Amino acid sequence: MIKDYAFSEFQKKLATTGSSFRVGRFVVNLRSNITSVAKGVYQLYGESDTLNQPCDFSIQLKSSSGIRRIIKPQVHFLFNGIEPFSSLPLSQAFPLFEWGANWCVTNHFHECLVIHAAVVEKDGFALILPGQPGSGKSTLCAALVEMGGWRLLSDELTMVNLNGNEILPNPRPISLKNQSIDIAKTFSNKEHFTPVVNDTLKGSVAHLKAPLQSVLDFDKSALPGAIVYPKYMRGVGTSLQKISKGTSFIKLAEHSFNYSVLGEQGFQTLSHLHDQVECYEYCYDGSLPDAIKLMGSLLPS
Amino acid sequence: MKHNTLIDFLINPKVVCHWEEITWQQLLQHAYTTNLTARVYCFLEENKLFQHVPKHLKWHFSSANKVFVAHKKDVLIEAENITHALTMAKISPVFLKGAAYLLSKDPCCKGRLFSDVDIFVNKAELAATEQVLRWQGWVGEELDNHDEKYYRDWMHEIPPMRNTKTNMTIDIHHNLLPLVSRIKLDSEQLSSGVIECNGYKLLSLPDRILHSSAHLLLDGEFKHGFRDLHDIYLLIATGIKENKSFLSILLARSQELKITLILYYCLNLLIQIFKMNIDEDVLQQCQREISTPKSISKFILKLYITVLSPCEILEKNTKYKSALFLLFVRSHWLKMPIHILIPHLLYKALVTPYLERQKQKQLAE
Repeated sequence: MIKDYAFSEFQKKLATTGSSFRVGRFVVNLRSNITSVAKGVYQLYGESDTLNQPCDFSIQLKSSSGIRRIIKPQVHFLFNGIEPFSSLPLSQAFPLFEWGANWCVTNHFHECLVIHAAVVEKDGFALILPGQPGSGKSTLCAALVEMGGWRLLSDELTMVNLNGNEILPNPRPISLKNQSIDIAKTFSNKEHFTPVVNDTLKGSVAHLKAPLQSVLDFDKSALPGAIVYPKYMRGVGTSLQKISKGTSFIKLAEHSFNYSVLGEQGFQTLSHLHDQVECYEYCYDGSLPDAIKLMGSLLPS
Repeated sequence: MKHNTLIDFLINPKVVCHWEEITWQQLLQHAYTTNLTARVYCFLEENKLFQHVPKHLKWHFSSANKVFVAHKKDVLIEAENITHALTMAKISPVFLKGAAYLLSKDPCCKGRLFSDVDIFVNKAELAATEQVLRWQGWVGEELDNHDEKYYRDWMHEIPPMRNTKTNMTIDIHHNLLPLVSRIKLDSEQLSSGVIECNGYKLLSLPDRILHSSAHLLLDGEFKHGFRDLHDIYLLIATGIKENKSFLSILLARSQELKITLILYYCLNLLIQIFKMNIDEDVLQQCQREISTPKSISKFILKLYITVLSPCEILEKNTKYKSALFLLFVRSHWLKMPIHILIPHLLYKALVTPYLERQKQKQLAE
């Protein structure tokens, strides 16, 4: 377990040999000399085992060298020695680890259809929550997990196996933006939040630790339960509306990272998935207890 | 010593039979570094070795292959789109690089991913090509006057255009190496070697090899260098398989095109990196033709080996960085005469950042 190391020891290990640990359902080997990265990992992945098996993704987060160390220091993300995106200000190093780890998955993992959606499980059934940024899907997901007794499968990447009948977990910290950080803090343990990083491309961000049981159950898949498209709208009250499976199909294809890579298989997956679930559009005004109650009623009994 | 696991594998895939997990891990890392994960999959499948991959690493290779299969389909459709678009102007483009490998079904198209389709048209047909493509949904980037001049008068290709329907980009070459380059590749002469294959125009096998080698060694960018070298390795191996005296043909062609120096470096790299068997005769003939002193050519060869080694790319240490820098400088030196190079570098260092800032300011307003 990472927490078995004293922090200074772990930090040293991370900077020199690097450390392998489980990130969602994948094994990452991370090397980094950046303190905020070591702190973030120690805080959010503390209970993860340090592993000695081959890793899926070798990641290095490096602070800039030379003169850039002093003037506007930057952080570089390297995947097996390749820098897939441009550097960011050093203060964003830990969020960059989280985003980069997602990039590793969406760019390389095509054994599943990977959809940009939050997904939680109860009684063996998965509730899929696709949503545009700002739709409140992460807040809703955090509320369901922290207050509603749901298991977190993923707050960002929903993985549907290619038969379309199983949802694979990838339990990772929940990424919260702007106002949703303060909202989530009202119902979650404040010590489970990373420090807020301001002025990123997505605004202010913080990450909320994934519940331990969700992390341990990374290998227990769930059956498709329902697809709900949340839409946060202030002051309109809540409304839930069934939408046609055809409409949902097209929306999910657009929300998928690898629909075009999978081609016909992607089409089959989505169509099998839709054979098994009902689809809803859900406008909510931010009343999370109501939302939790309603979501519970949507699963097949 | 650092071990280049990927190279061992590419030379003889059967080595995996005795591998431990840690070696597979290295192979995977090198495959990602060089963008050859899908090719590794193809080699494993072809040799019925896939069952040797450790269970939890299997998906990396099969997923990479899914990307390749989808990519291949897209590129074949795009090649047809381009050909179809240009028939209205009665232009038939010559496909180059990755697309050419795919269209000619070269063995190096296996697991080969590439970001754009490259075509060549004569300079006389360039304006019509651009116009016709624009009419049919391709768009180009807006450039300032300096960049326009850079691309059109000095370089060998125009700024990339993008197909708005498929989102694929096309690089249109009007020459095969930069026009002002110290090492010239006579497009007229290259055109004389154009062949037709499965309904598409391509360069002949020796010319495909020489053209790819010239780009690999002169572009000064080695992002995909190792993969490109392995492509060349597979192309030459095919040539030799089909015709025992293929290397002599290749040498003769390089003499005609006056780029024997390129072939010299390329063959030496293949010997040193992939332990390829190359006739001593051919090597010596190459050696005799070139005017570069042996000490310098040896040094440059060392630089190439450094920037092309998967281990070095993975580590990116000072040795790698300085080799990359020296080759970058050399490539610019070869690419542009000094009276063009100096103003170009000054423009890029001073004027371009200024224009960028202006643009951003305007956008902000």
